[in-house]
Amino acid sequence: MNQGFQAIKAQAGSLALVSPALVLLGILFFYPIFLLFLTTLELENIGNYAQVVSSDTSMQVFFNTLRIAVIVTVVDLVLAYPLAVYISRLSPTAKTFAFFLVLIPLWTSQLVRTYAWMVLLGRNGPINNALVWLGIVDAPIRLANSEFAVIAGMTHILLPYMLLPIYNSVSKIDPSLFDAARGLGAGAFSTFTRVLMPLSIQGVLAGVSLVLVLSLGVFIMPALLGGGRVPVIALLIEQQAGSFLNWAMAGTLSAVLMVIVMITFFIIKLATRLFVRGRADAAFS
Amino acid sequence: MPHSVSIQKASGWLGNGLLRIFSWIVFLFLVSPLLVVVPISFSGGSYLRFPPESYSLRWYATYFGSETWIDATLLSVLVGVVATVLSVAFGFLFALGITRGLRKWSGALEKLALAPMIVPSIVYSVSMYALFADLRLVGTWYGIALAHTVLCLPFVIIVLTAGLKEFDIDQETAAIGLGASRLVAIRRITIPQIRSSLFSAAFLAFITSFDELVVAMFLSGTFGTLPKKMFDNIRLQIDPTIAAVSVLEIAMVVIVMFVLLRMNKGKAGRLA
Repeated sequence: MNQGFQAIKAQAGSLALVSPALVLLGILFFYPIFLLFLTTLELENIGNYAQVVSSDTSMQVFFNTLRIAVIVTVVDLVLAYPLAVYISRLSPTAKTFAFFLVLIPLWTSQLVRTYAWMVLLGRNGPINNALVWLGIVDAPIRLANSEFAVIAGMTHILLPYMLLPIYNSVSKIDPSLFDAARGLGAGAFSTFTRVLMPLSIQGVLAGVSLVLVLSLGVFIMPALLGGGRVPVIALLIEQQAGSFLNWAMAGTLSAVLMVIVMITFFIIKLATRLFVRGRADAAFS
Repeated sequence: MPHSVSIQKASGWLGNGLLRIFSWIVFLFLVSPLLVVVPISFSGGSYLRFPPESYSLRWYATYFGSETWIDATLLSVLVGVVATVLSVAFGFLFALGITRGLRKWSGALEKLALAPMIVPSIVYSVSMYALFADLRLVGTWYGIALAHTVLCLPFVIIVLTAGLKEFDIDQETAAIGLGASRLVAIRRITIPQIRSSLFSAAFLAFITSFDELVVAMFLSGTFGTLPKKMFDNIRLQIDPTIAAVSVLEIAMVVIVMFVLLRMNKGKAGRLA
């Protein structure tokens, strides 16, 4: 009886602890986003949805955003996975140094990193200099202000978000499993497909989900590295709100972007549940 | 089959070599863009050329001598400090709550609190603009600080929840058993032991706010935070002042990182 009362008291105390943050999130996060959706569904605004769906330009922008997000995610996965495996096998000192190299770009302002890419890809930048010096091109070529520049910059900026979750799963794998696999005659490829990959799928999916979601809403890189040639949803929303002062349209586009992000997020969530359960079955069969 | 074993060994050795080379190329890809900015910031000329033809400190002088740059920096520091204090305070209480007592609900509550991470900042900006326009908070620095508090909260909660889970809760219970009130136990036993997590959380919160562009752009009105000033500078005039600012920001991150690394006794993994 007394114990039950204690438990209730502890529950109430904990509830009091979490409530300030929940109230803050309720007022300054969930309420305004709810309001956004509600406004777009008002009679005078609901036509905007039809306008978005029927307009070739805006549909093209949505597909373009999705395409860029998928490319960036795939490239980041290909770069991050081997790196995560490599870092997990380093000595503690080397690991600290490796983390240093990963965390400094992650913690540096996105604007600084985007600017760095503008320098890197500029007409007189180091890459153009190298290309001319090597004789690959005769005169500097346009690297910045292109989709390539946007994808390069996004790949760089989002790479740590892919790397850290994958490293997290890979570093938890018992190294003796690899010896066991080798001892049982597995080559590098089957060790990868049958040991490493299944045991790190959760981290891979977490990284994929993070990078996909972040790249769908990306604004700074297309705005500064795209030179107006790379239309993405975030730029379209900013243009509607900032230049045309069409807040209703900006709201509708935001709502559509939000729905796309949520669908992406939940599809990967579902995939994680399926894969991880499959893994558990395989481990015990 | 000694033959196949030696092939296996050779291929393993080759695989490791390739992995190492590939990994260092990726490290280079991660770090080199940041290094490129350094020589540009010391450039003597007024346009972008790599490497610069002459060197000077003029762009640092321009930054420190410009009222608009310094005002923008101070505003960002103010907004960042307020957002940090608020998000660490709210986040710490929240993390305490979900690591004590609320076992059954803690997973769902944590997911709820992390929701701001997956909402694109442009969507959040448009939503907040509508709310703040009604409340007449557009164009105020504390409006931006409040919005930033929401964006910082997930990072604070992730770091502090991890820190508190590592902490041995029996110590707190023991202190209470010995007659300390819960508040005293938390202040004298728990907080000192998760100090490094608190510093990491505060730093993450500060840079999240300090670097945030889109929300600040929508909510600031006429004045501008440092990221807005940087954004306009890159878009409109792109002189090497931005490179000097960039180098100062990178230096700040590197210094704080060394301090945090020392506090975490070299366990860099904890900072992630």
